[in-house]
Amino acid sequence: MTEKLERVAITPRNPLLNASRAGNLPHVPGIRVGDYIFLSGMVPVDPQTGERSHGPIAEQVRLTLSNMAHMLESAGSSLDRAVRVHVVLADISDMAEMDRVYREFFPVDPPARTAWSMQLRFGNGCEIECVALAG
Amino acid sequence: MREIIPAPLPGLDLRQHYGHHQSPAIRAGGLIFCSGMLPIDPRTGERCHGTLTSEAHVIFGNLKLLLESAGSSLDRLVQVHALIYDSIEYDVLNRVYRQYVASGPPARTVWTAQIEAGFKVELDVIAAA
Amino acid sequence: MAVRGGAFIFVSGLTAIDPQTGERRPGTTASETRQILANLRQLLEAAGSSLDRVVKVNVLLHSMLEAPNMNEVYARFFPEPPPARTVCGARLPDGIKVIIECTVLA
Repeated sequence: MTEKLERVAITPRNPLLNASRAGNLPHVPGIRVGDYIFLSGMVPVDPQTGERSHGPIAEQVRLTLSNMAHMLESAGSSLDRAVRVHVVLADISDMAEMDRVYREFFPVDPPARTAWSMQLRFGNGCEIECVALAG
Repeated sequence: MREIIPAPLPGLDLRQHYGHHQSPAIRAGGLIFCSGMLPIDPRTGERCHGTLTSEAHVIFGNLKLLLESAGSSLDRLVQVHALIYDSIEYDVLNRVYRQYVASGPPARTVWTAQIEAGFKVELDVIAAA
Repeated sequence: MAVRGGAFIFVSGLTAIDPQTGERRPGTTASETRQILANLRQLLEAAGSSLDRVVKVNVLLHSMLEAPNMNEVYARFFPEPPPARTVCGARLPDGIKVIIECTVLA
């Protein structure tokens, strides 16, 4: 019987990116378990002000992925250690623009990705989550 | 290797009841990957349509049964995809969800999706073994 | 398409394409499911894994009405006992009827 893996909650160094705490929500920004870090879905929030961005989708995706990078780095990992990404868009026609910006963040050996559209809350244009290898 | 976690009660065998080609859960690499859990009676497999709240209670009860039969528990959840039929029920989801993950909740993403059989909620979870 | 990390291989959401040319092969939900899973089988075998090492599958359908059509084809690909799975309906790009992603033991 192998030893049970321990779960460790991770939090961002920038408290404005801690949506779980800010919203008193029943989740953590991310969890490390064994070799992996599982992040909760992230949305386009300005890291300086904590406010949601409702700008063009390119800006929203850029913000979200920058915040994701920060989250992973806070946990001792990094964006280039992501293995699986889920991108949910409010508007399916934003796929091409999303992809253009996405490639800036994952230029080489990108993680596995699935992208699709669903109804999103609060007028967010995108919500992105990932699984990454721990540092 | 991967290990199949069988249905702890007959109602949770969705293959038998609904022809869904899936195992209830699989253990591999120290994690337990569960099939999307639905509000069905764990003894009979009957659908338990209701409010999002009542459906979520049934789902969490089923997950508790399944995870505990595999030596895990709701306290060892790592990631949840909470599928809800309409984002208007977000607060309702949180209210019931909170009751089950009070001590150290997992990572979560809420997906507003079309769920089978007209259910209002489904939970897709990964737990530490 | 597929990324190895730790004990697992993480496979991107796959759509129905010609595995040689990458050209889309749109069809019915059933035919798209068949194309995707045939491609997945090839992909995994090339990576030294196989369909019987899949642990979890997520299926996105453009309509949940098509679930039985997907399931009928799906059941023919995955040997006993099948992996864990979640199926839901969502808005998919470009008229695509089904997307399948999975996590596999390396």
